[in-house]
Amino acid sequence: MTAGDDRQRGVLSPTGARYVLLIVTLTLAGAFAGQVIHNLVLGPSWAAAVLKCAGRGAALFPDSAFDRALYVSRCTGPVQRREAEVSLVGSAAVLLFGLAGLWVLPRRLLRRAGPLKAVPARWQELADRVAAEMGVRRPPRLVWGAAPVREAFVLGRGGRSRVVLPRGIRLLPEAEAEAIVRHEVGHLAAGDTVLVWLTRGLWWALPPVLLAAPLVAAVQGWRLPETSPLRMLSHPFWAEYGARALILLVVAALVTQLIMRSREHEADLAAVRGQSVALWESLLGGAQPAGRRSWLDRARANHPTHDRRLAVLRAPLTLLRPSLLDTLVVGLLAAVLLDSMDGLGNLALSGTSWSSAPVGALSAGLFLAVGWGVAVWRDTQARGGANSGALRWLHPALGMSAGAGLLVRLQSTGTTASGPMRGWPLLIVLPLAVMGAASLGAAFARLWSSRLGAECIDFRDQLAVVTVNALLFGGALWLAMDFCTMLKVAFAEPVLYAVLLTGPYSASSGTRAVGLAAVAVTALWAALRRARPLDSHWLPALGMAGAVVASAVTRLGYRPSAMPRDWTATWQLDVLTALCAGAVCAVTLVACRGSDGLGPALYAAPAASVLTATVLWAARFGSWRHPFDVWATVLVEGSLSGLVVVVVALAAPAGLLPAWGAGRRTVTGGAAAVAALAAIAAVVALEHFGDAVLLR
Amino acid sequence: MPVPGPGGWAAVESLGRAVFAVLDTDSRADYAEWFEEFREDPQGVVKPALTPAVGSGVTVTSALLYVLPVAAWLVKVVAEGLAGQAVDTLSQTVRAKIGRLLEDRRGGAAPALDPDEEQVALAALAAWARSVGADAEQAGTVARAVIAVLRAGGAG
Repeated sequence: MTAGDDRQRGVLSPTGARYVLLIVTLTLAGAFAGQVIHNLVLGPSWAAAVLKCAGRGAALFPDSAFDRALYVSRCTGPVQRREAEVSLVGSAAVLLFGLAGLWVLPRRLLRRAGPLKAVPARWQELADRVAAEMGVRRPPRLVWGAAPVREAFVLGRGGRSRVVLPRGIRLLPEAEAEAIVRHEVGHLAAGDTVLVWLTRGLWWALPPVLLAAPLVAAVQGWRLPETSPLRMLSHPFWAEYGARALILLVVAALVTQLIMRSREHEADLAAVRGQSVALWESLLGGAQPAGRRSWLDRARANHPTHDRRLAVLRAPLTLLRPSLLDTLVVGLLAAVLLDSMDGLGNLALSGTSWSSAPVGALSAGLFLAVGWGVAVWRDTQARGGANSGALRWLHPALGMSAGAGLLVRLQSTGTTASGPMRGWPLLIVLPLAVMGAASLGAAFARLWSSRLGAECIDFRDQLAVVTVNALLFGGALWLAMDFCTMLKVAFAEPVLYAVLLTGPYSASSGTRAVGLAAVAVTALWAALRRARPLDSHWLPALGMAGAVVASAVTRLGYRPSAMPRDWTATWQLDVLTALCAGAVCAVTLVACRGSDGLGPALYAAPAASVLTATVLWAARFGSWRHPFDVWATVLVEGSLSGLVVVVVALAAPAGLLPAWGAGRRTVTGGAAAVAALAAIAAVVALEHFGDAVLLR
Repeated sequence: MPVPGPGGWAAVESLGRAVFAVLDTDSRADYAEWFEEFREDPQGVVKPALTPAVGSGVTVTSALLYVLPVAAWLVKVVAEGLAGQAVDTLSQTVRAKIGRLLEDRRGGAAPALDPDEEQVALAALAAWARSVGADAEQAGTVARAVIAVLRAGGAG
């Protein structure tokens, strides 16, 4: 038996994604420490500036809350940016310490492993040969470690890489010794030898940076006459800060262990590529202390057990499959990242017309794309285009862990009572948005993976998957944040208006429409390039056709007298009709195919909306002064922006459904009829009761 | 780690070579190179094993790693009267017999250890091997190999 091919390297491998996850989280924790230090040292001048601006704003704009808020935002911009800069100094400190660790820690290990001694030529020739086989351009230099070295390890990269071998390796059978050398060169092939030390450096850098804030508080307590260090630190803020810092460190330790074990699996897989697994069975099948180890030992272990390593070598899919622990950690850290970036963005963009929501959402979206979306796609790819059965149950776990991340984040210290950013509803909305995006990501993975096997993964695939997942997750998070912001505005019907202002009437409708269009075009391309049964193409086509024809005909042909006839109402109802067509198409596909309908819905629903909008636009072509502008910036933009909300909301529960109806002609044939009937009902309802959803 | 005096190294080399011959049936190890490395840094074997966090997770271990430390200890015990908890179980008679067995290669007819004496020596050798890091199985293997060498007529 030989191991399967698995050519994922760098940050897009399961381990690489976890590295990114940890590095970003640790770095952002430094930002919060910097923010606390800013508040301790520069807080008084910040507060004075804000109060001054608020007073001026009230004097200048006594009657307009909007103008007053705008003025205060611009006026406080410099002090807010200063806070952001000091926060970033905290991140920079963590990074600098981490980089110092990258330099110091390997050297310290080498010193402990020494004195080192050059290996005989035949060992170096072995390394050269193995490196050439694995595609490592510059083979590592092999050296013997001193007597205490019992495990081989690799350091450095490129021409400076070195593999330190235990001298006892000479006592092993030749094939087993080669297996160990292959494993070490496998780390070089996987490209993780620098990342692992950077991660360890950051891990060691974080505690002193987190301790800096209470230290500054203690110094202030000592310097200021009216207080003392003990009094300063006895404030409940510091107890909460300590507890949250502890949680962060535990999570970071957990991720570090995941990384360390995952990198061993990846190096094993790289080493065994094209080789017989039997050799590794001989090497790893010997005495293994795992059975005697306590659960604490196993939890702390940097290496997987030999049994687990063999299991992964025999079935590499088990490594690709996202585990529950992966899910919980990714969700939690994504929420921490979202909040941190939102907070930093809020400070840095203060006084500008830019919103911080997309900054946080897209950062966390990219992070989820790499940490989760790529893992799901790799797993789906290896399964020939099918998601694993357990995946749909991991989506709620991902959402809930993101919700938990909003609660435990370090940045919440001292503001627990006011809830997460954008209020308590985000605790419900954010998990649902993450669930929806995860379900759509899994559906896209099925579309993109079916034709090609796991051996055909290239840069274009990776780019497409990361981009689409980043758009899905980033878009969903952005929607959730905007929705919760709108909920805070005192409308008569807050939920309805929050949906409308997040969807079709959003100020960011253009960006959202472009994002959905990009996802739709990529999904359509993925669907068309696949060798699939013809009925798979007919189903979305018929569903879309039914929804488009029925919506447009009903909208143009049915005019109840109660409906307002002004142009504002006309274009808004046209937008909502196009939105209805897309929504009906998506629901029809899910009804016909269960969770498998989400993939076709990614392209068919937007296409239905655009076609419907185009038909309605063409019917009124002569009425518009700038018809082409209207088509693009009003009808298509509004309907697609609204459709984003519908698709994400639909995907959250639909992703939990099993797949059904594949290959049934009756289902395919009925799709058009179901879509048409549903569209007629929806548009008639809109014509009768749509006045409530018009923006006046 | 007790280090033999200048004269003792020859006995260690001789005993170690014979024990290697018993255990290393495939002749994988270059004994001369192995012995030189041990002689350069005999204390290295008693340092705690270095298991780096970034290591391969496969601990390279073999009973052969403990042959020379055990041989060096035995020579030190016999030739230089080393004292210690593990050593004290070896009576002067047993030490003398082992000393003569180690010199047997020079042509003397050394008296063999009786079964009880072998058991005592075996336990002491294994205990020392354990103390320098061997697991129970490796310690027993090395101790039995040393006894086999002594039984077969010393180190020669």
